[in-house]
Amino acid sequence: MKDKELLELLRGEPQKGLAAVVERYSAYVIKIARTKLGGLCTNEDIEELVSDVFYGFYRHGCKCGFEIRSPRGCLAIIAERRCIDLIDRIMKNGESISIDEIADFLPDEIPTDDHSRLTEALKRLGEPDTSIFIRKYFLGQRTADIAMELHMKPNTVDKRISRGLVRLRKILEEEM
Amino acid sequence: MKNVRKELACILTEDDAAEFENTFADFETGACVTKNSQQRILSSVI
Repeated sequence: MKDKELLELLRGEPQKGLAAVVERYSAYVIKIARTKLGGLCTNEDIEELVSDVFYGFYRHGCKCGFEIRSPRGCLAIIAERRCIDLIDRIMKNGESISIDEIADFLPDEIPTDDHSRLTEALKRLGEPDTSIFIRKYFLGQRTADIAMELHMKPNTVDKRISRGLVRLRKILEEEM
Repeated sequence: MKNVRKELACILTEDDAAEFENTFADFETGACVTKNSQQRILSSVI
């Protein structure tokens, strides 16, 4: 079922639509959760988080009448936030995670203007760099996995990240 | 570099997710789930 049809179903028969969204995107959301949380959580924790992501998607959809441009993107955003929340909870409970593992995931408070500035700057990097940056820094994917899925060599990915960071800084400075 | 990582971790909102639709679509490649797992998720959501 295509996204447009999914959204129409969600608007007309919300529960049936939600079931269709789970069927269509559960593998995708699990992949995001495993990428971010692999080694930190059990499979049961990940399944629970994934359920919570779909419930969050449903609640968000109910609020906006399911006027959602990209269900896949929306699920990725909610999954990312839930992963950060879970890592934060694990850290507060004092479970064993190294500081290095955690520090990379914890967001600082970013002013709203900076969100759109960085989003625009990322888009200006162009493909495949935009995708590499989103995969590496937003979705938390390892360089080796990015390389495999984008059919590149790992050192090519690293070089693009290194050069991309310089370009990103330049783009952001130009806009200031 | 760490700041970029932190900023990106909270940069996107539901509304601008569509700007990176292609990346999210590509990321879906290779995603897999067992029927049992999917069923458990479904029954806890519905």
